[in-house]
Amino acid sequence: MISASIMLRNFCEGLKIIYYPMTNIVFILLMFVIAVCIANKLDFNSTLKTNLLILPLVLASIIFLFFANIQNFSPQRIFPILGHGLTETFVTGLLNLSAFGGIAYLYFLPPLLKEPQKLKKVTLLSIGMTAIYLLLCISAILFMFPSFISANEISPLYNAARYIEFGSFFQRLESIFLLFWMLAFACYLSIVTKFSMNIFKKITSISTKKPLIDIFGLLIFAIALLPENFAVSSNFESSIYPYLVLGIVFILGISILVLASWKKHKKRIVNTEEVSNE
Amino acid sequence: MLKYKVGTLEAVMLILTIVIVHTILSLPRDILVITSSATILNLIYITAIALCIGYFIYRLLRNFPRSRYY
Repeated sequence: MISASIMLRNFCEGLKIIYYPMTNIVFILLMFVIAVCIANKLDFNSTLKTNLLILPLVLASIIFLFFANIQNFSPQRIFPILGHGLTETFVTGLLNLSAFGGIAYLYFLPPLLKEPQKLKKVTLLSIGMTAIYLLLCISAILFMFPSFISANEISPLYNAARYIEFGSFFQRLESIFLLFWMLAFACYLSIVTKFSMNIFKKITSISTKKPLIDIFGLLIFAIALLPENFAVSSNFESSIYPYLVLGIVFILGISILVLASWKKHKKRIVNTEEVSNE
Repeated sequence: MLKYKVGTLEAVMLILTIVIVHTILSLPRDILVITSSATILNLIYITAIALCIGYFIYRLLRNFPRSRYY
C-alpha cells in the first residue's frame, strides 16, 4: 500500500510536469483515488477482466515503441559489455531482482486460481513475460540514450515515445502511450487495494470489506501527499523500494514457506509413526 | 473476492501489472544507473535467478493444495 501510494505520487508528479503544470497535485491524485474507490465497489472479476483488456494494449504499445524507435538506435551503446565491471553487473546488479516484485502475488494466488494445477505454468509464464517486457523497455532506452545521461528524470519511456515519428503527419504519439499507462496504473492501484483490503479483512476478522473501500482510498491519498516533493518520492522508489521487495517478497516470503513446509513434513512423520504404533 | 476464480491468463496479467507500472516510472533508469551498458547481460542473469526462485516458490506452495490461508 505504501509503495503503491508513493508510486501514485511519482506518476502524478510526472503528469503534472508534462501536461498539468498549473494544476495542484491534489486534483490529479484525487482523479486516481476516486477511480480506484469506484472500481473497488465492483467485484474482483470486473477488475481482472479490465486488467486483461488493458494490459495487452500496454504490452503492444511497448513493442510498438521498441520497433518504431529502431531508426534511432545506436548498437555501440551496448559496449563495454560488462558495464562498470563484473562485481557491479553480477553482485550489485542482484538488486535489480526487485524488478520481479510481481512474484509477491504468487503467494496469494493458489486459493484464487480456477485451475490450481496450472500454478507452475502461471509462475513460469509470468516471470518469462516480465523478462521479455523488461528487456524490450530497457533495450529501447539503452540504445537510444547515452548511459551517463539518465534519460529523463520523470519517465525514460515517455522520453523514448517522443521520438516516434512516421513522416510529418504521425508525430508526437506519446499522448496515446500516456493514456494506456494511466489506465494500467488505475488497474494496478485497484488490484493492490483489493488485496490489501482482503488481507486486512482476514487479520481483523470483519464480515464485510465494504466500509474499508473509502478508508483505503483515503489512506492511499494521504500517503501519496506525505512526500514534500518529487525528489523525496523518487528517492523512495529508487533507494528504499528495491530493498523492501528483496527483504519482504523474496527473503521473508520464502522463509515463511520453508518453515511451514518443514512443520507440515514433521507433522506428517509424527502422524505416520502414531498410525504405525496403533 | 474468494467467490470468483482467477483464470490462468488473468493471473499472469495480474503479476505483470506490477512490473509494467514500475517500468513506466523510473525502473529503467534505476536499473541503468547500477549496471549501465551491462544491463542486458544483467537482465538475463536475474531472469534465470527469478525463474529458479519462482519454481522454488511453486514447489513449496504445492505442499498446501487446499489451504485457504488467504
